[in-house]
Amino acid sequence: MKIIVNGSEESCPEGTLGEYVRRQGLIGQRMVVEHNRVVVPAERWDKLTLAEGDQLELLSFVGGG
Amino acid sequence: MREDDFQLGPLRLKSRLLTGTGKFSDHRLIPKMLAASRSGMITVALRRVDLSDGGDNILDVIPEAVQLLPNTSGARTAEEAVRIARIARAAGCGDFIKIEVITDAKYLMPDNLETLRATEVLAREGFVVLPYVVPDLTMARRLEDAGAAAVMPLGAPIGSNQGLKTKDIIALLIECCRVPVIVDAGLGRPSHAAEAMEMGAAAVLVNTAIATAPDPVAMGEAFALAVRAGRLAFTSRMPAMSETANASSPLTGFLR
Repeated sequence: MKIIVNGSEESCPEGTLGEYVRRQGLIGQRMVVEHNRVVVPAERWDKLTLAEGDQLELLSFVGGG
Repeated sequence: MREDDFQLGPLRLKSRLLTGTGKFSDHRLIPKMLAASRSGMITVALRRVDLSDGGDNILDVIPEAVQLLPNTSGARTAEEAVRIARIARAAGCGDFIKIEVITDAKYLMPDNLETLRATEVLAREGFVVLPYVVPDLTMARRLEDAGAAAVMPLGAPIGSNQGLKTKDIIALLIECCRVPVIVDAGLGRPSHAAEAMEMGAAAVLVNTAIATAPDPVAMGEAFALAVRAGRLAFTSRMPAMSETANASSPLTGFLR
């Protein structure tokens, strides 16, 4: 299925947000995930099943003034 | 030294120097700079994770005792700033937010109107809102009425190191605002920070001048000393200037 991650469309197998994050090698990071504009706490990543057309924003804190 | 804590929203800060995490050549310098400067609050920004490099997390180098101040950099409208603020809070960064709404690419001037709109929304949602603005007294009053916890006028364009180019208007803000006035942006030298503090600014926020110094740790300490000196000068009340000389020694002639 197709989902939109950080503004770009990509193909991904069906599954949960947690599985997606692990597949990307991003687990263990202090990362913020927005799913269809709603922030999803890390403890709910494994319970959220991704669907066709979902929009994900994967965000993290960086240096800034 | 005398206690001179600084109340910012719900937080009591020991240092009137706020710092930033941008532009450090090596993030491992940040905790050392914080230790040397004793800054108790530091800004961070939120960005999309770079999926190719797995992302870089600045939070790992900031000690627990230092309050994070997420900014809304990258926002071009009030709505975007509000969204970033909500994400930062959901990420566990607390209720502080520095509102930064910028559309001007050359001088990075903040959009005061959008900043006010974002302040109104976020203050209602319980955020401790620190709006970064072009100094303007009427706007500062509107921000106060909207529930801002401080106003943060720029001294000069971000990262320009020019110092207090907006000094006269900042003086009006300091005179008239009920909330703390924190001079943010453009302070390039410790003497600039001291000057802002001598004028009665509640605090200053310095990022570029510390982060891009060849020795950011020592420069952090230099700014901390300047902030402390400027603050002490302000609270000790500096004597007025005069056009002519006033002798410091007795004017009676020596042996005459």
